Amino acid sequence: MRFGEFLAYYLKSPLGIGSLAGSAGLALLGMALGLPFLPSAAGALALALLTGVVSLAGGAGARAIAEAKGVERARDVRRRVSEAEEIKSRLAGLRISDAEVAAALGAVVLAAGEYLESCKTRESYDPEANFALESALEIVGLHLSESNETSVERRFSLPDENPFEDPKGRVVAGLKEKASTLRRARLGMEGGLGAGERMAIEEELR
Amino acid sequence: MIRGKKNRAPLGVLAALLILFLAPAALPALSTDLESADITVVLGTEGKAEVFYRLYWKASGGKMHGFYFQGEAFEPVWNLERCFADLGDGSRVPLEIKALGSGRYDVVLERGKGFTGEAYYFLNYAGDFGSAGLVGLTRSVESGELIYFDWAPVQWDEPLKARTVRLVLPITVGGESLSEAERGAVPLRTEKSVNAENKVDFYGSKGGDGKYYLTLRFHQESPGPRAAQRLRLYFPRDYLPIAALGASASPSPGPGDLSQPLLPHAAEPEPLPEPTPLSKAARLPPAVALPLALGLVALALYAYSRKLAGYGKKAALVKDLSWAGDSWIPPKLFSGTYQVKGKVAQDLHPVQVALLLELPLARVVALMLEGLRSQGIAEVLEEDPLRIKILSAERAQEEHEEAFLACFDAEGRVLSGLLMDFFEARLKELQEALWDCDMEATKAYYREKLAEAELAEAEADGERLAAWRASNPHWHYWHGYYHVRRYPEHHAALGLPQELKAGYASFMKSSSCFSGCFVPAGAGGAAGADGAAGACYSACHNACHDACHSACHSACHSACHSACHSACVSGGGH
Repeated sequence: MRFGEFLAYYLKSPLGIGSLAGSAGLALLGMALGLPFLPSAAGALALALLTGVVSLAGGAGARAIAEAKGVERARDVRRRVSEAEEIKSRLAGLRISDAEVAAALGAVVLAAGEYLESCKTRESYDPEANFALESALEIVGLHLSESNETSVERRFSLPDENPFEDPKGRVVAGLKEKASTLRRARLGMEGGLGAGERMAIEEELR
Repeated sequence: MIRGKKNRAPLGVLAALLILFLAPAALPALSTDLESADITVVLGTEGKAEVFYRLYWKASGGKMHGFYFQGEAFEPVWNLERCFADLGDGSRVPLEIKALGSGRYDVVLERGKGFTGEAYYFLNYAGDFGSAGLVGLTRSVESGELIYFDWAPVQWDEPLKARTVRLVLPITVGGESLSEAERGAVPLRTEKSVNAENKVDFYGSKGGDGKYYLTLRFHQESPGPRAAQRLRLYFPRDYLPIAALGASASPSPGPGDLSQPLLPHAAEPEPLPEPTPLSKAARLPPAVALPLALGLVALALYAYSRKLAGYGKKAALVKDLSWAGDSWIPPKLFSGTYQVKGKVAQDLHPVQVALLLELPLARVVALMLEGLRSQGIAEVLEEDPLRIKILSAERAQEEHEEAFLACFDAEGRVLSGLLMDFFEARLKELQEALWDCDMEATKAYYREKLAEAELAEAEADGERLAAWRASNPHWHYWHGYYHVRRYPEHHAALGLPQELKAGYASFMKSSSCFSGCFVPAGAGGAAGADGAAGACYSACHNACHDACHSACHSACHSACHSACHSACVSGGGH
């Protein structure tokens, strides 16, 4: 961690904010008691620096920095999970007339739901799984676009300008792969072991 | 078409024996009589034509189920949507039409129904007159190049009180009645026999487009058994706007040959074999007749089991056939002539009502969106271009809703091709619901219902509004209907594909949908603005009926009747 980053986390921590606020309060108090501005400000700054050095030497500053970093990470996780939830919600809302594609999409939505539950429980996320969700949305978009084009081409007897070989098979395979990625991600977050493996461990420990 | 008497006679005797064996009391008692035949031929500009038969039958002494239809010069493409019978008790019964081979069809009331008294049977089919050589080009020394029309309705094996053929041509005229000058201006030439055998008249038939089309009427009083009504007409080449005749028509008979028969198949029919009298069969010794009859029963049962075994395969084919049928049979705006007066389809969805009342399609979309919004299923994010957000992942209660939501992509943008599919599907459903309904009465009913919905939705009294909604399962959409009518500015700027910005009638006629088909009002099938969507699935129905019919209608029935009534004319009420 670079010094600037270190300092930023300290200043964002409750200890950093408290020491700055306390120093500023003392400076204001000094000026209120009739002390000149410069000595008051210099005194406050010195106090803040002293508090920082002491807290860092004593370990409280490091803990504050770690906590601040944890808070920011949690915020980032929430944002990522929220984005993934939005995508999952859009996928779930889509109506696909083709039963096979709809079933594959259903598998993605189900796996995404389980993955997101796991994310919330463990306050974590898997970038690969999030990317898989985005990809699933894109794949379904391709399917719908192709269905629409096919309909228009059939209606107006137009040639197929953008041939798409075996669209259904490829879309279904793509969606199943994304569902698999999501399930793997959930499993990874839950320790990387499936129920069968965990049961085997339990049995071994008896 | 006419089989030799020698070949048919033994089978006829056997069949007669079987009938005597199986139903000794019923058959001799039934007496059927075809009173009159009204035929309308609507000739299109491509040389294809639609043919409508209205046959007035009387039956006594038993139940009449149907009759045999035979003698058309081409293979009819049946439109089962318009094949039905109006019975004396006011009911309407669809017909089952089974091909018996050699251009012969068994036309019966569905599910073995029968009637006593009187009934009108309505038949409708189409054919390519140009390809069949019934319409084509010829030449005369005096008149130059001509278009000929050479066709005859089927002959019947019994005398009729009257027979009328109306030929509707793709020529517009001023109105229903033609002045003397207009009549004189019709450059019609006929064979002498046409004038000698028919009373000929001219008038205008109103088409679905509001125009009147030249109609020639050929009327015969009391035509005898097997009497022909061959119509051999000629028009100057430039008079009839019929395209692509040169290549498809049969070879021209050449200059000065107008007096010769133009078409071999339209020549006068050969004398028909007399049906085998039952009394003759009955004179066979019982020792011969009984084994023969039992043998025939065994044969019939064997044939039936074979048919039944093949049914599965036929049923499997229906899916493919229906797809093919969708693509090659253009749906038609259907007519009011087949409506049951006063019959109203009372369970239409508000979206179907909107289509029936020709609300612009963009407003129908608005109605759908309003219905979905009020249920919390979707909301509009942008109007132009339209973008929605689907709020619920749960399956909607109505199929319409799911189908509508399937027309939007992952961004919530409308997919124009799928939205057109959506409207086509709704229009097909509408047609299925309305095929025999009185269009005006149905519209009036729903205008009243809409007024009621508007009153209810504007109701300040919460209890009364709740009661109205509770009694109307589609109230969200009645609410939507009310909303889009009450607030025309709401969703007024919906960005939709151009094809969907018109009413459904013009949508139906546009290349983005089906090709509209003209059926003039006087043709027993007036296309009207009142029509609904197309009958894409006639081929499917045909195949389905055929498959069902094959399985359910015993070989005994059809084979025996076929054998007994082997004449190549239509008739043989049974």
